[in-house]
Amino acid sequence: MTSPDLSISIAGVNFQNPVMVASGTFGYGDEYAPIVDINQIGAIVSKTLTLKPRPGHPPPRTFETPAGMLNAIGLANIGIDKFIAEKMPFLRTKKCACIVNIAGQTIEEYAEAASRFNAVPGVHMLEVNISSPNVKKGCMEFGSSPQLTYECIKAVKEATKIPVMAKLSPNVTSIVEIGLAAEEAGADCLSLINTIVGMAIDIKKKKPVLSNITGGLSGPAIRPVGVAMTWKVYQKVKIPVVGIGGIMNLPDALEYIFAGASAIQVGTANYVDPNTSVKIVAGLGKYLEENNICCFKELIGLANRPTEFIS
Amino acid sequence: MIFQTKSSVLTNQKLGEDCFKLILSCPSLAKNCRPGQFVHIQVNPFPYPLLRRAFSVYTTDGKKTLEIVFKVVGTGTLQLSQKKTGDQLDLLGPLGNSFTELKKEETGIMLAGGLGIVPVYFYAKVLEERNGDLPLYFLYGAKDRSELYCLEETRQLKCKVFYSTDNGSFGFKGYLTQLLEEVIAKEKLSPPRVRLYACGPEPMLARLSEYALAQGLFCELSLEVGMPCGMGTCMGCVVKYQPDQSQEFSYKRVCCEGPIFKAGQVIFD
Repeated sequence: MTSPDLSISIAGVNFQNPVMVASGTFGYGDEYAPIVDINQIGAIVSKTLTLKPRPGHPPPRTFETPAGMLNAIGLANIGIDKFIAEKMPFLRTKKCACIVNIAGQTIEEYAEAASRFNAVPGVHMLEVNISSPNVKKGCMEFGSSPQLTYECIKAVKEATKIPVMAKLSPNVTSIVEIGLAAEEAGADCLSLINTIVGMAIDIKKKKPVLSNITGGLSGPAIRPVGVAMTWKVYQKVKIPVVGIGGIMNLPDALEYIFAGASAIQVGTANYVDPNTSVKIVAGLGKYLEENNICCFKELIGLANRPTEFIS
Repeated sequence: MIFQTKSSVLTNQKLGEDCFKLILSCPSLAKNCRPGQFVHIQVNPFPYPLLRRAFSVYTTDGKKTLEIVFKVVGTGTLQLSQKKTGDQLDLLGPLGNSFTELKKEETGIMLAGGLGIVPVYFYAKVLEERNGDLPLYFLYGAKDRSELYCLEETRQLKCKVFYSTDNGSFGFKGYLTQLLEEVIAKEKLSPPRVRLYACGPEPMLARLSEYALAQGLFCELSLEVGMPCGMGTCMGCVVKYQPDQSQEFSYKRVCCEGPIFKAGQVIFD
């Protein structure tokens, strides 16, 4: 048998495999280049970029928790212009797709941020961050309301021809409703979940550990939440879903894929082992071969088949 | 050059209450580590503790082995302290910047506060090996004699070594910064040709920065903060950076723009 086909087309973009690295956990792509063969990955999702550079929150910004970590970085980033000038030339030389994650404080800023990439070669997709829990304005403010999600995604879609992926927050009453609103607004695909709002207290100092008080919880601790939400959203939307949350290895990735994810993103695991995504790609190929499955696409949503159990 | 590599534990030696020295077999890092750099160690393959732990390098043999010295402060260091000969560890490194060169005709003063001895001991060893005639001073302080974990090894150094303890149980009684003032006066060391290299608890580094700036002494500090990624991606390990008082501060990542910063560049809150 010839080697299995790992490729996947999402919103018209052809990815060489379904393994991406999640925004904020892989920098701008070049940081890990000394030790990770980036050409093996399906896509690099950039750190969230805003129109102007952002310094981020004061430290402490991170804290390790059982099987996870809290972060409140505050969207520290170099700004879109510097990214285009200094980071895109590197990303363009790589075989992996480039997904640029954007955010703003207002809907106009989101649209403006999206439009900045219209003439930039090598940007395959935009991931719209309407879900970071760590900033006062924008992001989760929009992503926790179906109406604002709709308005934000619609504005972005009108500003660009690049395919748009809306990144959803788990900190909502119904992620399905938000997903449907994004779909209606024209989102080409969805990625979920962003981090879950969490908090840690320093019991010696009797005060919150993080300067921002609360942060976003990530890592294996949140994987069951991400899998459940992927499952639910996949049932209801017609556009592809990209699964994120606590993926450390191939079995974790397969859970998301069987739940309905067309691709997955590796986040916190990059800190533990920067080569996690490369290892998942290799493992996935082996898995398909061992199970005599010709192409990755056949795996998507397999756990959804006995629909009588779905609420 | 950065490596992600497996290394095996050669020895695990207890240096004192809750303080351990691991000697690791790791040729790629042993050959490439410069003083001040650190390694990021996956203490447990999976899943807890989740994140790697960063350790400054205590010394290398330049060929095969690398040593780290650490104190048990939490789950990660506790598990590391229980490693046995032959255990495998995944290492990332060498990471971060290193101390700047001490030039000819310059006097180097190493300041080691408690476990802050780790990176400055490495630098003293490297300088000694490279040029035994360099005028070097090594000031090593702790709260109490029992916390001068590397006392015996510092006695083997060729440079002039001075000790201090806060309670006077060994050497000079008082802070390392007070000892520094004494040594500078006694040895008639003149500011333009003196370089200080320091690592230790934050209050010590803050006091030292103030003193060095007031005296016009060149001084480099090695900082220690928690680092999720160690390679500049997570932005979690930042410090306030303000080299120019007339400009606003910015944030710098200790893992890749540090861990060595010049005194006066970093704001200690």
